[in-house]
Amino acid sequence: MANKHKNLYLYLALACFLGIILIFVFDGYMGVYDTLVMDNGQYPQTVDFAQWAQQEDFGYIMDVDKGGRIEFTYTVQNHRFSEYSAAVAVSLYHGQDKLSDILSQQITVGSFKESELKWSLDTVKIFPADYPENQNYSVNMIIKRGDTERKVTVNISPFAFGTKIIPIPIPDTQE
Amino acid sequence: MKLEYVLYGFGVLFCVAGVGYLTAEYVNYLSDIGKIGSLLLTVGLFTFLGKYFERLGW
Repeated sequence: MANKHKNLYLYLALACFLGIILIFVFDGYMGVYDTLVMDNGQYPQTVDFAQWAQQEDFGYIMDVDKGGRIEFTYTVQNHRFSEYSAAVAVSLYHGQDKLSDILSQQITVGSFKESELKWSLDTVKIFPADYPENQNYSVNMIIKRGDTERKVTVNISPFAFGTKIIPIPIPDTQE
Repeated sequence: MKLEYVLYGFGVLFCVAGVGYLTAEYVNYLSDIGKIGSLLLTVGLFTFLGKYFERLGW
């Protein structure tokens, strides 16, 4: 008994340590998280919450062939005890110029549930007719959810992905 | 013998620095309430450890 009393402060210190670990695990899980899946038909790319945090300033780059299409799936996960409600707006920009609004919707996510939004981007519609054929064209897609803003740069390539450009053989004139 | 203690010291120092760095990185993801809770528990942790060692006669 005396030994137990002697170690009382040690146990209390251990309890504090466990409390810190529990806060880290619990608080890390709690919150509202968003994930974006981008599928250009060749390789799907997933951007989760941790990746957004790393690329906050520069956003993400998604390549697509001219004439191709990208399917977007935006998932908002609510890991909270209360309902989450926010307006989600998706817009396209070229530089500072706004090209179009893709989506504008109010979402309401129940406690510990998730909500999914889907939209697609047809490169034929956004590629300008007077733009040089052999040059890449980039547009910025901004996803606004409440105060949070996510940026994806869609890079439209005039050449099909994986296409090898073979130079025309020069005929040998020495013979 | 003394060299061993110096090496132990370096090992402990690097461990503490590593854990401290990881904690500082992870704290960014915590909410304000979580940060305050963690701070209070850290104060409690070192206080109780201090009392424990005090009782041991250190």
